[in-house]
Amino acid sequence: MKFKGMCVKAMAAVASLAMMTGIAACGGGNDNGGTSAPASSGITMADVKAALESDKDITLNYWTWRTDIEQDSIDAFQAKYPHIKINVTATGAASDHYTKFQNVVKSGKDIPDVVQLEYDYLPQYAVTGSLLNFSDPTIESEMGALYNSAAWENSHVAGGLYGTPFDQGPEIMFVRHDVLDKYGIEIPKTWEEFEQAGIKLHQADPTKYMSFIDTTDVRYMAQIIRSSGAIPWTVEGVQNVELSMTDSKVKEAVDFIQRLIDEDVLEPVANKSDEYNRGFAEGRWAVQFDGCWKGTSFKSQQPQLAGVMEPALTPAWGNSTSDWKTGEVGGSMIAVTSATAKEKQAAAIAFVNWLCSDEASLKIVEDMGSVFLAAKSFQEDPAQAEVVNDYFGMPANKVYFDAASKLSSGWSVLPFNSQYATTYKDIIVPELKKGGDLNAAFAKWQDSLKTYAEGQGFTITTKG
Amino acid sequence: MTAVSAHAGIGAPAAKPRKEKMQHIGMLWCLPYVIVFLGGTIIPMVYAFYLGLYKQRMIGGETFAGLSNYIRALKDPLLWNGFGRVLLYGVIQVPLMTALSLLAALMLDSQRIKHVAIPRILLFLPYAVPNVIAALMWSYIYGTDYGLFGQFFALFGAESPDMMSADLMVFAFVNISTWVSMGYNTLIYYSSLRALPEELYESARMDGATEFRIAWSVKIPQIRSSVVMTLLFNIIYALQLFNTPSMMQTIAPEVVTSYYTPNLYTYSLAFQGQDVNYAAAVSLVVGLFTMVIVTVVKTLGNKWEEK
Repeated sequence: MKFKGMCVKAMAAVASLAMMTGIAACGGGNDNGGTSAPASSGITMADVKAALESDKDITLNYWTWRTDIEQDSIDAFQAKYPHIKINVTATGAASDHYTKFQNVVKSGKDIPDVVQLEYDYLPQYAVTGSLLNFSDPTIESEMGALYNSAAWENSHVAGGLYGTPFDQGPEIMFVRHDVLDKYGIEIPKTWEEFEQAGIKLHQADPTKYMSFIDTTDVRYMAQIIRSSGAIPWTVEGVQNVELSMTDSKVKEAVDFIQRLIDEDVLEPVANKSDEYNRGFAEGRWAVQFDGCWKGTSFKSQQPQLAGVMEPALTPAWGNSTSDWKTGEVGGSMIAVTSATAKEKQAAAIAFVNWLCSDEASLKIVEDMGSVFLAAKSFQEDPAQAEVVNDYFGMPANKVYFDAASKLSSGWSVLPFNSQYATTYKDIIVPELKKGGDLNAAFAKWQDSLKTYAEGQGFTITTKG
Repeated sequence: MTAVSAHAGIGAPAAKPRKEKMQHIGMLWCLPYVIVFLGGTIIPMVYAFYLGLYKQRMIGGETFAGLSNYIRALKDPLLWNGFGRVLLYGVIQVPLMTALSLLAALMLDSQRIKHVAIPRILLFLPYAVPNVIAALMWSYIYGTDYGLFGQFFALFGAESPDMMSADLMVFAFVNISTWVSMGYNTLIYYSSLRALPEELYESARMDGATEFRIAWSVKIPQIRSSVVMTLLFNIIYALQLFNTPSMMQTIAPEVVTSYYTPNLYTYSLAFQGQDVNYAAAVSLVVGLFTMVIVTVVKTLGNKWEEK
């Protein structure tokens, strides 16, 4: 007993070290010394087409967390091009996906050839040289023509092209009609209406809030700031970042968020907790903000709310809808990694492009509803806007199209997105409470990011 | 690395070694242990030290950094913040659980319980629940609106205390780990107690000692070595607190920061901040700190055992 216990504890004691050495073994085979986008692969559109017509057997390893949506398309691809075999690894939740991918990238072993990435995560992998830059004039013009231009742009970092855009995630306000109707509240069109509606709702029933603000994921708070038109940072090239997280426009938006919390309009809640799940089922929050893709999750996880919920545009800033700006949550691209063997690269590019733009693939995904594909053939098809979504019982795509057309411009992703997401929880979340001082926390947040980023070799300037 | 210190104090040199012919073949018997110890502890430690000498940057690649990572770790307020928290946690949890486990073991051993196997297995049962599941389960129970806590206080029309708030979270962790591990410690004490010869108690009873007196003056002193051993394990365990806070991070992110405990900080640095080199340096500092504390406790424990 004693000996066994001792062994177990001894093993546990070194576990943290063992964990570390596991991931760091052979310390990064990728070349990340550059200050500009890595050189292009040299593959042309003709090579990509040839890869589909060749009969050379190729196996591609593909990591994704959305096999529910993609598996049928992948099967269709393999049926059509039997010489290319796709080895799919389902990585579980999106958060686990990035940890797993980060680990193999660091260790330099077992890196998949093709990987799904949200746009938020692209820059950090692109600047460290983990992804294959396949920007080429023929690819840019021919392949680029297949996609929404903003999504195509989002698949680039500092002039390098790293994948093809699969879907976009225009942010939507999912409304609970049962809650709003009960208290005679109209769907708010502006943030001011949202605030008034929230005050009225909470007064009528103190257990209810207009919505919640997620304390586990920075994106939801960021999108409120984005809808105000404020730009908290800009990124130039690979390594120059200007932080303006304390300028007057950001301050105004942050003050507003604090006010909404103080007035019990927004409740700070850890999304995915048990309290959240039960609260959601009971209609504790009248509306919920998320990327439009969330519609597919509601459909599978909250079937009892079919017909009760409805997607609507997120509120416009202030009290007027004349300059309506929306944000984006998620949406992903499919990237090719730099670890892909030279002879497999063209086939990998052909596969990601097929999955994201071929009609056969799109048809399969369209039928799932609520996936806002980045392919032009989807977005420019007038019939798509009229398709009635069976869960919402209305043409949901119409709202998604509308939201996508109002995406605010000038917003960019920080190349140190992981650190940004972690420090949100350490610095901002403790202040996300009634009587918190969010703006002071924002100043601290900016300092912390600046210190981190400079240590990582970025050139940081601050403004405001 | 704490394994080193756990073993360091064991086997104090015998007073006078007998002169016998050295049997080198005996060393072979140690080989399996030596190999595991080298591969599982020493080599990773050396490797971590080596990693800690470098700095990998997103822009600019890898450079030799000397001891700067270690110096930074020693001065890192976030790391010390985490240490402060696990120390507070340990100061409450370790004595509390040791006392409760001892009490439970003495009760089981009192021979006044009819079907002793039933309470024994019930006490041990929570230990079979993985830490992660226990954390999840308790987070449901702690819920102020829908959890057992909330429901219970609602019965009396009162508002339940928020166990997962910044002030009470440490106690929430104390409760969870005590719930999980008490049965394990009880079992160790109980089996040590069972190994004691009956005659000891009988002679004490003849001398007119009460049962309480027997427990205090005979039983507990006799199982000192088990108590010291579990104390060491529990202190190491407290300093290495990771699983439960890591689980609770998704439920109460406003309280459980990325540096809530030193181990969680190391993990966040390596897997979220992608700073493996600094994480390696921090993990060595954490290990060193643990070793110092364990050595102090072990020395005190030895004195008590020798009394």
